[in-house]
Amino acid sequence: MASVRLEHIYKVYPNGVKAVEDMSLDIKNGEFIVFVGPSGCGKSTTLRMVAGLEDITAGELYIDNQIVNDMEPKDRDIAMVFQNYALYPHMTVYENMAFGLRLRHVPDDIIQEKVLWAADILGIRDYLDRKPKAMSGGQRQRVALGRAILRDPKVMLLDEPLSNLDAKLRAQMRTEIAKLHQRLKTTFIYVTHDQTEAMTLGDRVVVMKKGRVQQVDTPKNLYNYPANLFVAGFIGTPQMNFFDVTLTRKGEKVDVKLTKTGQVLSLDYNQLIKVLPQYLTGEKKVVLGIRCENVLLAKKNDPNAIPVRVSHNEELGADCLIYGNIDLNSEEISSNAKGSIIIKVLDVSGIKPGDVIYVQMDLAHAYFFDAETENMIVPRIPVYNSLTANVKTNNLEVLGQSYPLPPALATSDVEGAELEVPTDAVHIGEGPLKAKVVENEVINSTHLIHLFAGNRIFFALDTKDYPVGSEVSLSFDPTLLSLKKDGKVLFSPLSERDSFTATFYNYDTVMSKNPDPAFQKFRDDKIKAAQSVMDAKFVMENMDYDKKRLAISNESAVNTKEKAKADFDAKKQENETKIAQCKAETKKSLEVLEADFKKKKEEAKKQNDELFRKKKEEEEAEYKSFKAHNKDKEVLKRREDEYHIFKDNFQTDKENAYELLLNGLTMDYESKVSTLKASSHRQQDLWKKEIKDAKEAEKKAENPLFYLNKEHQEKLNNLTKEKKEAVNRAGLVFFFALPGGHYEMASDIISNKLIQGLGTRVFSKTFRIDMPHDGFVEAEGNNAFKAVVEDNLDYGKTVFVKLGYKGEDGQTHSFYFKSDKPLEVGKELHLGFNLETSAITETEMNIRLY
Amino acid sequence: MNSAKKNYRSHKRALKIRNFFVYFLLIVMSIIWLTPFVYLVLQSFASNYSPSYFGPVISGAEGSPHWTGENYVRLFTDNTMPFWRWYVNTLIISIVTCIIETVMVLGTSYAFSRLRFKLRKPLMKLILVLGMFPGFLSMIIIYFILKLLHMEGNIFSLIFIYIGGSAMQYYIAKGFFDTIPRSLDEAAMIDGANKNTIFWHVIMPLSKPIVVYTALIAFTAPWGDFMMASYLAQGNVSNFTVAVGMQTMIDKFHIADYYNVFCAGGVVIGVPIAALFFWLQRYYVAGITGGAVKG
Repeated sequence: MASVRLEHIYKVYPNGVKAVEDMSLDIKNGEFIVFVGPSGCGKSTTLRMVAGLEDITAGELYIDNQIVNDMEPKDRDIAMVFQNYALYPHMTVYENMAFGLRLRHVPDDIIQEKVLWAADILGIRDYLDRKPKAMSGGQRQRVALGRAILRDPKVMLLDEPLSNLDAKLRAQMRTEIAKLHQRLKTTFIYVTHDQTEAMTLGDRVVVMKKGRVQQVDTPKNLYNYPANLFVAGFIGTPQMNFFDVTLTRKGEKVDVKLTKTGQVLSLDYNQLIKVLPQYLTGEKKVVLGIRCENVLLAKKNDPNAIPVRVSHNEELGADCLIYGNIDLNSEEISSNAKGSIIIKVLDVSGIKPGDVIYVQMDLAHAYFFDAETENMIVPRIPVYNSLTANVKTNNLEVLGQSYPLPPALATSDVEGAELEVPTDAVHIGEGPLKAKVVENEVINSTHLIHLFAGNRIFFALDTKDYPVGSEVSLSFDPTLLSLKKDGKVLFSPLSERDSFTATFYNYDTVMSKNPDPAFQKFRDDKIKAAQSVMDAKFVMENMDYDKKRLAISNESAVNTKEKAKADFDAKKQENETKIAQCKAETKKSLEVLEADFKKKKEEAKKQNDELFRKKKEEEEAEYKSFKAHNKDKEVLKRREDEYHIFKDNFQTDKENAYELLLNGLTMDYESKVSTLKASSHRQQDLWKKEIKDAKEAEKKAENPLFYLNKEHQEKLNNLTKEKKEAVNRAGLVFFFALPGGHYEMASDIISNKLIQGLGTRVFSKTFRIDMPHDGFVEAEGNNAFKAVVEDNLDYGKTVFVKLGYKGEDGQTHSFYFKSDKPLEVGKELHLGFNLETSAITETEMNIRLY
Repeated sequence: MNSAKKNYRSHKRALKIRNFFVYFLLIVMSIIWLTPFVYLVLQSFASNYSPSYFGPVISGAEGSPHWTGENYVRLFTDNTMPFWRWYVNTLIISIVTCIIETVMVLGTSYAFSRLRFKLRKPLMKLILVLGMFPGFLSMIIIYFILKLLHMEGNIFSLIFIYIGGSAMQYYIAKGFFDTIPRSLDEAAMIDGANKNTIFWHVIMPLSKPIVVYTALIAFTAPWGDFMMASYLAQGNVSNFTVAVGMQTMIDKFHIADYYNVFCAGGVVIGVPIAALFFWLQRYYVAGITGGAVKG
């Protein structure tokens, strides 16, 4: 059992195709995660990257908080079930399941115990000695599952395990997999293209499209709160109905206008309260989505009734689907055609194709998407609030209240501008503004507070609830605000990060260009630290050795020796007799089986001969009597032909019938023989193993000191090797060369990630380092990054200082530095980079590496 | 109804006639093919060669060949033509070549089928094209190389020559390995197997037919090779292989004396290949991968 964490995982093929792009996912211990999406969306590739069958181009994969990017599949402690089972056809079911444990040198008795345990869970105990080809698809898949679970892996990976089974078996296996997960409580990652499997099995479902994650949520939330058009269309059968509409707000109502027919439906504004005002002007194209169960049959005169021309019906047994189009003149039959609609009803009697019926949409359960970005425009958590604001003599008038703007946001007077306030920029607690709490909504672990002021509702994010109806003070974070008027931006927040270009160098290159003693000292200290850690391990091992040695010298050597020898002799004698007995028994049983088989064969032949002799006699007698009693020439000729056909085919029929009998007998015989042989061999191997173990123990007892020394020496050798490696590793120090001859040391974590992603190509690439404004520290010394203060942006409590530096291209670039007080313009600052806070991106393929 | 029955009979007649022609053709072809073998076997039991007789006769005119086993005895006892020695030479060369070459061909094929490395495709094409040139083109340079190694007078250098080019026959085995699902390799990898274990414990048991095929080819090629063998033997009789030795039996100096012995030799040469084939053919069963994956 383990957690799995994917961080900015990329898979880029040599031809430049990005199969998986920037995938980040946190899978909790014991969770059942399902990857779902259309074919080619990268779900299997992701799974194979987790398994280690596919290299990870960039990003990190953690299993149990350990980075496993470069770990072999076998060392990751995972198990995988393949779509096509991938059983070893030359091995019996038992051997198939035991193969992995055998390779890990697990003792035979434990293997047997585990195989039987897994076989019992999956109900395949009776088939253990069969070969895969003698089993059905469902049984084979069970074997594959058994092979996976018996190793007790940290993570179970299932790659479309049910897609090769027929519908009924699939449903059955689905239940079994769900039960298996409940019982094992292992982390499951399951890939499927079947949304039913995804919805029924997953604790959480990851919907993917074209290598990108569309939404990660519980099945219920996916269904109820799809993040975008794709998820909405993908989840749920039959597919959601989509219509192009425009939304226009009219007071407390919103008009929903169907673009196709021009019909207007009406909706309460309360339901669209989270929608940004720009969507409610009637200009933006919006897609309305509604599930078929929320479309109801209605009468012509009902409010909001829409006429639909029926194209065909589908009876599903319990209910029926009506397919139609809201465009009464449409001749298109494609169910993807614009305006097509599916309605779920209990009874279709009286509705014929071609009829015009009236339906009502339950718009309370409708979804709205932006037609261009395809994102949901009624998000559960709105990203920002759009408020109307005025500026008057540098006072911001918003929500019917007014407060002074900080100097950085100084703007000339304006009326009716649009102020965008991100929901996380609204800080409740203290501040110049007042608002009333209307509602608290808890989404996952975030609290969304609905606030009311100035005759409108807006939202804030917080970590706790506030009593409904109470009045709270609040402030807007000035650094995150933006103000627009007629498309002109009056102020907007600074971008979160500033970019620097850098190249990656190793220690030697940097020392030849810029021999800074501080770098050398740093490297020497690092090596020394690694050495001292290893030296401590040597001391521990020596102490341990001395202790064991003392214990051995205190024991009576003669006694242990004799006991071990006696043990071995007894075991040998006992097991050898057992083996001989078992062999003899098996031989005898085999002989019995063979004799039995022979006898049955003969019997079958006799029976068959007898049967066909009788048949022949009957036919001949019948033919004779027919000939004697019938005079009609035509009829006689026909009967004659029949008789000839019978005679021509007689021999082949007889042989075929015998062959059939024989096949059945042989198969039965062979399966009995293989079962007997396999179980007998298994038993014998166990006994042999016991003898071998006893022998080993005896050998050790013979000269315990010798073995202890050997072990000790081996450990010392390993430690020496380990030390050498550690020192080598400590000596690897890498740098980023930034403009102006500044070298910034890259920490081990960063260098590892870069080298992991790009290999040796890392040295020939340029990188973009995106630094947050607070990622700089003031530094001393020659190597500091020098920049000149150009300007100060005063936001009140925080000040962003604009700094300029000369880039490699000779031009001056600027960036912002977060400070608590304004700095003197023209002053030169000496800075160091705190690279841990940065984001590092490879510029050619645009892969984020850190 | 009536016409249907009528059709049944005429259809049957047509079938019979067709079968008759097919079998007739097959019989004629097999007679043409089998005649040389029958002739060879009969001549190996004849006391002397006579152009007017197909084989030995029990009683006939003066000079007519009669039945005898003498040729086989002479074959293994004649001192000027030490067939026994040649036979052992060839057998050692063929067996050693067969074993090493089989392993190398299968290893190469597996690598080309399963591993993805730089220059894989160019390398495959290069080897394929190189394999199209007859081996004796490189005869002279091979001789110089052997001379450098002081191996030029030794017939067992043939082993090195044969296995040197063995990897070139990767093509058929690679095609076979390509049909074994990769997911088996992957399942084994996850089970904890390394490439070596996968090759020997997963792939090899499934590849018996191709192992048999490769082994047979690897055995018969050196067994029948003349060009390289004759040129390495350098006329030294004890260094001959069967192919070279048998050729000397029917040169213009010896043919009169050794004709029937030559025929006996021909029969004896066929024995190991036939034996190898019968021993290996039980592994030649099809459908061995049944049940690995969904079929």
